[in-house]
Amino acid sequence: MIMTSATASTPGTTPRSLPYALRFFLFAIFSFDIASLGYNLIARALGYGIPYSFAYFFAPQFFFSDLFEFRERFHHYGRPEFFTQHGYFMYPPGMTLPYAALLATPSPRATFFALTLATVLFFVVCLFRALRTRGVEGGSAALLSVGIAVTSYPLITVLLRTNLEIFVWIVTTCGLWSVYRRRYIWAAVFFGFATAFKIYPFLFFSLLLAHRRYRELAIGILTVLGVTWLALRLLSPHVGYALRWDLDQLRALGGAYVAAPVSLGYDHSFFALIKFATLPWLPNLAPLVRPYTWIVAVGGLVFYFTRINKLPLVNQFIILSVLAVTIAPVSYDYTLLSLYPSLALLCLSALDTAPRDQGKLVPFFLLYATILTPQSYIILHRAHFYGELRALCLLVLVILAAVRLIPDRTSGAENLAAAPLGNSHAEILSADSQ
Amino acid sequence: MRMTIEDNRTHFMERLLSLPFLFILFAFCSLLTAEEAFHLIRSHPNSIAFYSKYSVDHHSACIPRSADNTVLECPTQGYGSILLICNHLGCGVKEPSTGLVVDPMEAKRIRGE
Repeated sequence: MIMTSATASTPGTTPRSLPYALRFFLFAIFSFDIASLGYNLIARALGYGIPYSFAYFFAPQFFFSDLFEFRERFHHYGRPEFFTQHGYFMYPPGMTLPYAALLATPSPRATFFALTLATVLFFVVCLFRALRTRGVEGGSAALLSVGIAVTSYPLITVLLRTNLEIFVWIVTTCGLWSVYRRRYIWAAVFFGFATAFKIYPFLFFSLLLAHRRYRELAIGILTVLGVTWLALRLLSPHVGYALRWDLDQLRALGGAYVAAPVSLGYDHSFFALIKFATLPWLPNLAPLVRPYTWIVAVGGLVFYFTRINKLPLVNQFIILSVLAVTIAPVSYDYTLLSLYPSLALLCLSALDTAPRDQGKLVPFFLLYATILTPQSYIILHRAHFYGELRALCLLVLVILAAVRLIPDRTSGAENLAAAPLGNSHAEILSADSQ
Repeated sequence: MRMTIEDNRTHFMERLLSLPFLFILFAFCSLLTAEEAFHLIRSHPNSIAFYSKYSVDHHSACIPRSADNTVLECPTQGYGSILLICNHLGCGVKEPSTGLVVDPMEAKRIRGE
């Protein structure tokens, strides 16, 4: 679907270089990456300690660990023993489907790496072709699309942890691309899978709501229910029992784990900022989780109906992508993969932004560059503050995307082409109607 | 004079954001990323069972970072040292997000609660 949409640049036109905002973005990601990896080199040489914000690599049996965390449980997949294994399965039932499929392969780890690298390669090729279609010269397009992948901190994290987030990323990216191409039924199906795998991508259904695609919205919700039912049925003939078990797992995880201030160095959720602020006293935050969830839900609805649904598509992509990885009480850094579709769309929008307005896109790209590169030098008294830095940057990104409008003439989904950057939505629409 | 400074700044930015310079930065990034990955795989730092190797009472290779030896800085393969929190039974890897400070949760772990 993505590949067929890209065509070669128009013959006879001179290929153009990258605009200022994109060249600034490349400079920022390369600089941050070099500073981080350079710091790691120096830290290793001088014995400054570990350069990572998580200790897993340094505890036995935790290297590439997430893939096999539930291996013993899934050894009993479809049998009663599955439900009595030690530990929490912290995903909705839908995630058992890709996980069971992965473990059924002869070499799950090799399959995981092959799948992840193939997916990233596909994303890079699609971005490259999309840039070429818009007339960007080959070298510049390759530099941008490959540069984003090489400097990707979430990609490194997901590979080193062998985390299941890759499945969420695949379906979320396909869903967002489908919205961009105005293939709303496909978008609904992909968002349905993503929600069945990990709850919080349900936020992307609001894109269908914003376009008044109620039939597709219903298809998406049916997809969630269908995938969940299938997953539960494969776990046990007693679907109700399997569902209660999964809800108990999620609840137990929330009570024992979500409120605990563990691994704050790579937790970029907004709730992690509360955990960080209260760390010296360590109050019991478990009673706060439910009110926090309600406040976020109500606040999100108000935010959506008063602001988000009136914004151009690029702004909606950015805000919803950020909220999908920050409003959960715990959100580790591999979830940041979900920001890449919005970044890709922002890159395409930069190509259509007038040279005098390129500077207005720079804050967006600076925030993306800060969030998506390692930042391993943010250390004070041997404490790592990467998670807090990212959470703050993500908060600023949401605010910025809510107030600074980015016109999008590439998708045709919003028809906001003629408007200058920075105008209000009403002005954009007015300009468009003229 | 002011124009000259602005001209110089614009010229400097153009050079900084020029495609050849960005390609050089990209090549450097790729080199450092490959080195980092190679070093991590080669040194395999998590092959040490800190829990059974060190404790508050047995830590001759480590530097104590607290008066009661519950925070130790111990050697690890390929990365110089690592901070551990320990009790009489053994040691575990300390949260990188708290540095040398023992937060109340880690204090509970030290007490074995």
